[in-house]
Amino acid sequence: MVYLQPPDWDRPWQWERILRSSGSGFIIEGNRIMTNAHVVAWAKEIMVRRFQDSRLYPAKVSYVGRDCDLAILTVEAQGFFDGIEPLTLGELPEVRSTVFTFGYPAGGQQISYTSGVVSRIEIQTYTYPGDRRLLAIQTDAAINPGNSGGPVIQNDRVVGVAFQGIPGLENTGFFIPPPVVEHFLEDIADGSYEGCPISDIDLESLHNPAQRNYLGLTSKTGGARIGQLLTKSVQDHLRTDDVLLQIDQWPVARDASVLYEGNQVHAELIVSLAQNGDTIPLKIWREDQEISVDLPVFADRSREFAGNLYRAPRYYIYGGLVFTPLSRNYLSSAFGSNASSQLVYELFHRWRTEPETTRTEPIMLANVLPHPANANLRRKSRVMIDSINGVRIEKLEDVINAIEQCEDDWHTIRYAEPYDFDTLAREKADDAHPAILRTYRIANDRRL
Amino acid sequence: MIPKTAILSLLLSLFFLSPGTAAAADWENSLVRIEATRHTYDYFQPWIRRSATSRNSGLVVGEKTILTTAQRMENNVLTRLQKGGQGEWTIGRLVWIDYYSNLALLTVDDEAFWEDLHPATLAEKIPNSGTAQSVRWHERRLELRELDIDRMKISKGRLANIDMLYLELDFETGSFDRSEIIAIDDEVVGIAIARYSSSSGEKVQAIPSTFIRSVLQAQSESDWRGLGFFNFFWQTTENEATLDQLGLSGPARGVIITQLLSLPGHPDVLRPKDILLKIDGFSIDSQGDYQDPDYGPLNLEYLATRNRWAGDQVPMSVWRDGKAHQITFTLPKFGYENFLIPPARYDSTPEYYVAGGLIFQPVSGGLIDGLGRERMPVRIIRHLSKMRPEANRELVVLSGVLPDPFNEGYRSHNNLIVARINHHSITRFSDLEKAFADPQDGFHLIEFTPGNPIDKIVLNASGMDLATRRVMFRYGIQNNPVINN
Repeated sequence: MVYLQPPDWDRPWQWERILRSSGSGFIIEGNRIMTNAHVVAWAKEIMVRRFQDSRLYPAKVSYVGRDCDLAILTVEAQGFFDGIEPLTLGELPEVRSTVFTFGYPAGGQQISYTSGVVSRIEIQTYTYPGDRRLLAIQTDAAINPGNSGGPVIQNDRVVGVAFQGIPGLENTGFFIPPPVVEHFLEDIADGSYEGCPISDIDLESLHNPAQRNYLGLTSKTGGARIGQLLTKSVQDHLRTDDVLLQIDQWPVARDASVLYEGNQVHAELIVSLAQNGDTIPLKIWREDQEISVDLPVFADRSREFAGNLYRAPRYYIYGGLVFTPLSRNYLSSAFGSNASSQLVYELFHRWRTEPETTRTEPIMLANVLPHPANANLRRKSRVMIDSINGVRIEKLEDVINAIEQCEDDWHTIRYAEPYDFDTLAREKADDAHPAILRTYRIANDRRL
Repeated sequence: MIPKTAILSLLLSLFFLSPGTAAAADWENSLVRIEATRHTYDYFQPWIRRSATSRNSGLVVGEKTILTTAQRMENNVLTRLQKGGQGEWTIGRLVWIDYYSNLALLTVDDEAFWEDLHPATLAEKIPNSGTAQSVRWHERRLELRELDIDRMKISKGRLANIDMLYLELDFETGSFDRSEIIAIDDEVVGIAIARYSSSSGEKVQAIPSTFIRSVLQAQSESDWRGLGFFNFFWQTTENEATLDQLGLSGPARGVIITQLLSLPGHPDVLRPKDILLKIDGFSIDSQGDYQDPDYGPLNLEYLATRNRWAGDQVPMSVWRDGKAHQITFTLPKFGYENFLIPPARYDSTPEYYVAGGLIFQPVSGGLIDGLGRERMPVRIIRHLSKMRPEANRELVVLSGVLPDPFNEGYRSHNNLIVARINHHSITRFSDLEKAFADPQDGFHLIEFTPGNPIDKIVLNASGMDLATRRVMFRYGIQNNPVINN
């Protein structure tokens, strides 16, 4: 049972109404409970109860894997774990084999069991982070709201954690497979979670005979072309038009897949299963010869705002103007599915298309808290900031510095294209600032 | 093809130009029906030409001259006209069309058609309120219905994203025809171009007769230079602090220039942060309105088309660097070609270049709408409304692939923006021919801009011609490439 309170992304100093939710979880070694990250997202209080035991025990979140949608809970109360044999992790189940789900889905109070077959195993978008594609298993066993976090069992061992379905599709549920769960547990073993690395390489299929000839691949049967290299780290090791022949121990096929445990899955899988900072040996075809490259891989969290976040939004308030970063959460909260293509481009696309003009953290003027000092501002909410007092705004700290270091009589706030602007009389805004915070009951003018 | 600029001498004797000659309403003999057949194109297969037919109203406005709207008159194949609301149809022809003003003129060569037809009178003034009538042929009879005049309003055009003056009327129920005539007593006050729902009910939007008169006058005097527009963005000045900062004391007035849309060959006489105080002698208030002598407060954008044409010089008064300046603004001509993605391309077939099954097309509004706006990636959509950075600059895309063994591995690619072919930059569609004529070491190298799902594809140069001929045969493509300039 989870009592949760998501932030109000438009008014980032305050929180939405308290909601009650429920999910499932299972006990693993070390007196820990595994569940989904989204089950405990924004939790203010978490209560757990054991099978056929009416008592509720308070639990705390120890680790959250935002990208892999996994979390670890601990229970401090004496006796909770008494007499329980922790579940152990099994192997990646085979396609067409039977699995059983255990959980507490909607529709009743008691534990629910369903069975189904492993339908397919491949890379899928993880819905709750929204910005990651990791290994997932599809099953026809029913996975409904409330099942999330529950174990998927085969031969008395955990072969997955139920986590999502696809609305509109029947008999289609997904669970997180053992390699991803193992990665998460290994990652947190040092006391912190870093995340699943991402290659930042556009790996393109290489079927066309002319393109294979052009790259000198006449004697090779596999290999996928390396296209755009998205970070300096990969640019230091690889070149566009390199051909990836093998990643770690896995030969790479023409469609950029590897045969992993009998399943044809995208080679990005191998990167995602490495730990942050690991080096992956690659066999590369470059200029008509095969070379070896050791590629360091990282769980780059600098663009996490393109996915759903589980931490309270950063903000800064001055003179009633509320500044907060543009994020997937903000976009969804403020605009639903009607966000402008300009904001969608800023959030999701510009870093690939125009990396030289990409802002570290695009900043929105989320709101203007009405007060005589700001009453005449033209823009009142939900507009992206281009510059303040002539300083291009790359991140929230730039807003603070531009405003707090200003010595002019006016603050000039320039919005993103078409670049209209507003002017705020500095002295009036400075004077009004404490009163505005009091009026709107805002304890702190910033969360950084 | 339609003679866009030539205008027949018959317009010189337009009836409406003679004040005081208005006849009593004789709609039966002024209003005709128009049946226009046009080519339509499938941008998935731009070599395929289909046709569609629609019916409009037409108004006799001069000797052997019929006025209608430009909507549905594009790519015109056949025009027929019918008088009296029934009976035989007579072949007509389009003699002039302007999509930006949304007006077209037709004539009929058969002298017998003109018997009993009389020009209607286009009103010189339009009241801001009161009752008007819509007039149309409907089910073989002349139908007149009452509408209330709501207001004169500045809105974007139906065929061009340009602010113009429209007559807006309240309309309760029933069907409404495109080009339906709006009249008061015996004078035409507008031609309907759209019906739409608003928060205050159903509305009909009409091109006002005053605008039509000025367009036809310019045409008749061979002085039609197209519509001008203000190629700048501005903001209102209700924020007093902004005016203080810019040094303009006194009551809030004028609007502030925020962005100039630079056009090749058009000098920028305005600057960002100029306060625009007067246009054409009219004072601009802090909301961007001026007091129109005929219609009261109207948005300043109208001053680009109010008795002005492209190329006209408009005196402006601006506040800059703490003092007033008088400047002369030359109205740039509004045209689809001003935009990096032209919103429309009428009266020409879609351009395409099929190479080994790969379909290349210039990006246009037609392509985006034809392929489905909701399916278009943001990397393309974001260029909408951007002006061309230089003359003839275009976005060229690999719009799709016609499956053939030659293009194996590329068949799922679509809507990829082309950057270079064989190391030649592709900045306009006509660059393709030269680029494909210069293969590199036996290969065609097609590179895409950053942010596309793939960045390069390679084809065998030696097999390209044969593959292209095979694709053309298999997919029924008769002409390739089609490049219009």
